Amino acid sequence: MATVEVQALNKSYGAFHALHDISATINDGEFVVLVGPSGCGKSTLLRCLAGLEEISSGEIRIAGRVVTDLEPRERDIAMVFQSYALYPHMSVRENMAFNLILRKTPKDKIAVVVEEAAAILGIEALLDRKPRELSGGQRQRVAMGRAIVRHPQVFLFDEPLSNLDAKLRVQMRSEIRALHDRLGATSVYVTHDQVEAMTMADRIIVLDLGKIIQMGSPLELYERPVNRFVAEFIGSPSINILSGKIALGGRLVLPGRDGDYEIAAPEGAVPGDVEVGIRPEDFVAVETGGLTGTVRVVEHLGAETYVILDRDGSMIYWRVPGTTRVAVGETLRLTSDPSRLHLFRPSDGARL
Amino acid sequence: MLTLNGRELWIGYALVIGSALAIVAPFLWILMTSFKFPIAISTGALWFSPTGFNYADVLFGARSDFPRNVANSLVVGAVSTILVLVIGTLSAYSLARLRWARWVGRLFLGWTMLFNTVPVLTIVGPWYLFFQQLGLYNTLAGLIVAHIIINLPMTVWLMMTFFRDIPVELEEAARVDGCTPAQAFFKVILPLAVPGLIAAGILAFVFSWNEFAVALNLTSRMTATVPVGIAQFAQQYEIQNGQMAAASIISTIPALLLMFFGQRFVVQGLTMGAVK
Repeated sequence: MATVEVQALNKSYGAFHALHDISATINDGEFVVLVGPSGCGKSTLLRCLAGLEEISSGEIRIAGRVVTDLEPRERDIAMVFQSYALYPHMSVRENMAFNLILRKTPKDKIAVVVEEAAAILGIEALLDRKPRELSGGQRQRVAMGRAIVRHPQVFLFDEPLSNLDAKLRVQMRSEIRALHDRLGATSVYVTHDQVEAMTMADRIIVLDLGKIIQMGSPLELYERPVNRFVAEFIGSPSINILSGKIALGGRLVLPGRDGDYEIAAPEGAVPGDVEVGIRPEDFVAVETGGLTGTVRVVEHLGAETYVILDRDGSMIYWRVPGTTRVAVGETLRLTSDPSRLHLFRPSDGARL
Repeated sequence: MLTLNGRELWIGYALVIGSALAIVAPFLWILMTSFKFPIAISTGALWFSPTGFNYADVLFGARSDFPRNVANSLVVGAVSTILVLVIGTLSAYSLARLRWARWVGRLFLGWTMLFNTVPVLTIVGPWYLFFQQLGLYNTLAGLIVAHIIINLPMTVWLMMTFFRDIPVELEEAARVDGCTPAQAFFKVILPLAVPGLIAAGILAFVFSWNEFAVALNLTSRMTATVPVGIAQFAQQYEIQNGQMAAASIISTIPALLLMFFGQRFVVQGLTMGAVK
């Protein structure tokens, strides 16, 4: 398989600068997820890799070969589209064989390869059907099949699961990942769903406004987000952001109407205003001290429960095991281990 | 759905039958006329003994030009339809998909509007002069060119709506799958546009088949098409009503057949994109 290297890639549409100086290396056999909110440029970046968009400047290399100015067909990539983009006038078999036919592969070999891929995906029985006779999940599998029969250098996925229902999405998520491992492929996967990103990726690239904000393993991103944006984007429910102050003497103060909450600031914190990020699972209930809040909503998910507290008008999410009993209207005191806090600069959200 | 009862229902039926008759009656009248001898035609008799004389005279009569008119119409219709489809499809694809500057599309739309608002007879005069200079007057080639020009705007617009309804991803998937842009067009896009081609083809052919004003001005006896031929039955000193009716009936056959088999494509084509 292959590495994908992107160097100083820029993409503009007229005056609109869609991608700014993107540089990244995707290793051989790695599963990299591009994630970010709508319009962050993640799909554009994927389409640049595919050759469906011309880039304005920079360089793209696949397996060491410069492909910047090559047509999509010359890049040896396969792409799974959000809409699947199956050819409606061809049977499943013809859809899957299309690339091989174009490459003038012998017929008997095509038959073998297509049958193999169909067996891997469990769609042998569907080979002679037309795409319109298939369900969403089956179409998704055919689209995958069309990609894997080719044994390409790189697989590109453009939000392939967003048209499926929730249950199927979870199932296909692990299937795609398993398929990736089985084929030893290099994959680049675009999604706006951070859960998909967290569960599937070896490495996540977070994009916002056309720039790479952070690259790292899912846990790195979760535990050490480089800024407030990444902290809020990764994790569900989202991280709690509270405004506070580092006082002289290394104390972190979170002011509140019912008394300030004071804890030791993380080491090296400089006095001044800060934003404090606390993950919903990092709170512990205490008898005295801590942040006070009134329980407004209790969401039972079974295995765990989300407790939503009102603290002076701002909402705090607290994630507890499903066995914990909390009643609406109760006033609780919460505290957190100082080492689990994330501090951000209020002006630009950068991690302190 | 509106449900009618009692008197309303009868009024409804009356309206439906009335409007159907308004459409069908003239046609039935001509059909009857085509089976009458001249004497029955001039008395306007409703009851008469039918005769095939008119048809025999039109189709096999020694002085009848009608078979030649049909042949001319078939050639002009077929050739102009094929060419208009080729040119129209390629231009429509280009306008629908390639990133043309906005003014190109607007210019085209403007031209189409202008072309369709100006009466054809306004253009026929200049064409007559041009074609005479070019040596295309009184040739089938000249009439074919004229019909292509007249049919092109409609064909391009119709095909554009078809191409716009084909998702761009299909083309992108084809290009990733190994197609050159031309292969993507011929192997993926064009097969999906076949209903559009049928619709546009039928409309263009039927138009060419029925077109009278241009054909009358650009042809003479040897190159006359069917509508011109039919008009020739009404001469200064003699009006051959029976033969004219028979020729008219025969002339409706190709259009009827095409519409019968292609109707669903035409309706689909004209209403495409109206409702998602």
